Amino acid sequence: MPDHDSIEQRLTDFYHRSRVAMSGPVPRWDPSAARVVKHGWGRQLMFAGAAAVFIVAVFAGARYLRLNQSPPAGQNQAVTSPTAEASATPQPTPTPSPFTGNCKLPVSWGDIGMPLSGGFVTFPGASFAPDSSASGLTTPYGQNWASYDTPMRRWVPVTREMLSPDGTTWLYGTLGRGMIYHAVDVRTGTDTTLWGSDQMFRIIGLDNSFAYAMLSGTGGAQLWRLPLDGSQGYQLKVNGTWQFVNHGAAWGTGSASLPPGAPFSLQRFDMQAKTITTWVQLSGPGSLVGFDANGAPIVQVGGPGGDVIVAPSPGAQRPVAKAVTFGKGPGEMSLPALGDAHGIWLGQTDGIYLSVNGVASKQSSVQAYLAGPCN
Amino acid sequence: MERQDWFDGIYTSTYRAVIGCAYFIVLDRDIAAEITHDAFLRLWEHHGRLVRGSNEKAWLIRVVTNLGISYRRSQGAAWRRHVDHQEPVDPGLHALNNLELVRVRRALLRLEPRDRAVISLRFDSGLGFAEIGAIVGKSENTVKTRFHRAIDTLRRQLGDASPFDVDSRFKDGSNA
Repeated sequence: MPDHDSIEQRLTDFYHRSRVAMSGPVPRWDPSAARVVKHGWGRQLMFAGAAAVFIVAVFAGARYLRLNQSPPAGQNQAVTSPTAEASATPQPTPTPSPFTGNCKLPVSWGDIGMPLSGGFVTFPGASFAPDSSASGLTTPYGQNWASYDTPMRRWVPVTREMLSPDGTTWLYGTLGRGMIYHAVDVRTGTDTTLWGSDQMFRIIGLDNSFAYAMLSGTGGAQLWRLPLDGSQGYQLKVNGTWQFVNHGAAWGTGSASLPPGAPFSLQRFDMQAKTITTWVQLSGPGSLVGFDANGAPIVQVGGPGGDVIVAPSPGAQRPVAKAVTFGKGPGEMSLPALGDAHGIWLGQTDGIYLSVNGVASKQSSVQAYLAGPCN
Repeated sequence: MERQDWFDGIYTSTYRAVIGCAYFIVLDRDIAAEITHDAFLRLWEHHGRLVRGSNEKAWLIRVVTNLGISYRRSQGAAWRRHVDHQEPVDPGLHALNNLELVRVRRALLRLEPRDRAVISLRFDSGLGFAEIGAIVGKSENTVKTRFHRAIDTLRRQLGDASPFDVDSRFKDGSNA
């Protein structure tokens, strides 16, 4: 916990850190997407008429039912269930194709400001069951999340991007004089402080030996490699801003922020060969939403509700799903698309889809985050 | 200057400040985004109607603050959390989601929206009491009273054992 001497210090910290957390690209202005704020809800209802009353009643009823539904018999009463209600957002209607593989897909869910819960959707059949061991996970600094560490068969309190591929290490951060990152050994619980705790590093991912971090320097953004054993880190000689690390490569859009409507471009920096390749180049906006099992980037084209593609090689694009609206959760969430040996999973607003050979099929009505591969 | 250019310039340069003000009153990102959108929509509609030399950012802050104060939470807003788009995660920023932030946020949520506005305009925006009064439509003395009461409430809720002693930068209103 940080040292707080007074209420004004705590408030100053709160506002400062919240501002930092809210930084990022300014969203594109779209007047047609205006959603007028409800001022005086009752008065609005009077003018909205019977149709609006009906819609509100349906939403309120669904929420009431969700909040009051009993967990499955035998489950921990403290574990809430993810929502499984119908979405008001139009969704793609792929050819029904129930997944017949044999695996358990870990998922997590929760409300704003509260620890997440976790559970599994088991295939075939897509039956859902909460896992009480995933409930209430926090880092020593109080961060709340629930991802499933498949190699170690246990839940960890951080996003998938902060877990090493071999499952032996997860990272969490604290704010001191700089950004202090800790590597936790999953097997022993040993907590190792990474080198450079007096710097404002921003971790973008890790492999089994190193964490990778961006640092703002006088000459621009720098990419650093920080050993997980806490020994001295060093700067990688490459320019640009990188956002993710996956399969031995750093991925980035070339800039910390892009103006609204800017064409999306994704570069790959091969950290072994020390080469940069423009992997994806769109004529309009886009965003990186995940990686497939081979480390190829999954990109949503054109923003929310847009199609999703995967780019297996530079310039090559294959369809994943059409008109995707990813689910949203408390604070920052993990990447909403996840590739594994079965295909590409998509955590959408109305449930979980699996895309195989370019066709996405809804597999479960559970609305939750993808907490790990189906295994 | 064309209306679109005028608007785009203001939108790009003030968006973060405006949504921050909204967020610190409603303490909900989605609602803050809605309020911010509404404020910019009003700015668009006011093109040509603002007095020459107007400070559009100050106008937006005033609008968004009062929208935040008068906002009524609804089931609709809660529902929309499930259907809005999620920006890609930034693993580093996720590290800032910690227990202290949650505690302070919860304590702030127990205040009245107008008091949250006063507190955030003071601590986040660094405004003087007179300026805050002009924004929220209250006298300077009223704002001071609300500020001190709110601070006292927060101190009790957050368990600050030390005697209340507001930093002079915030107490005398001279840092604006």
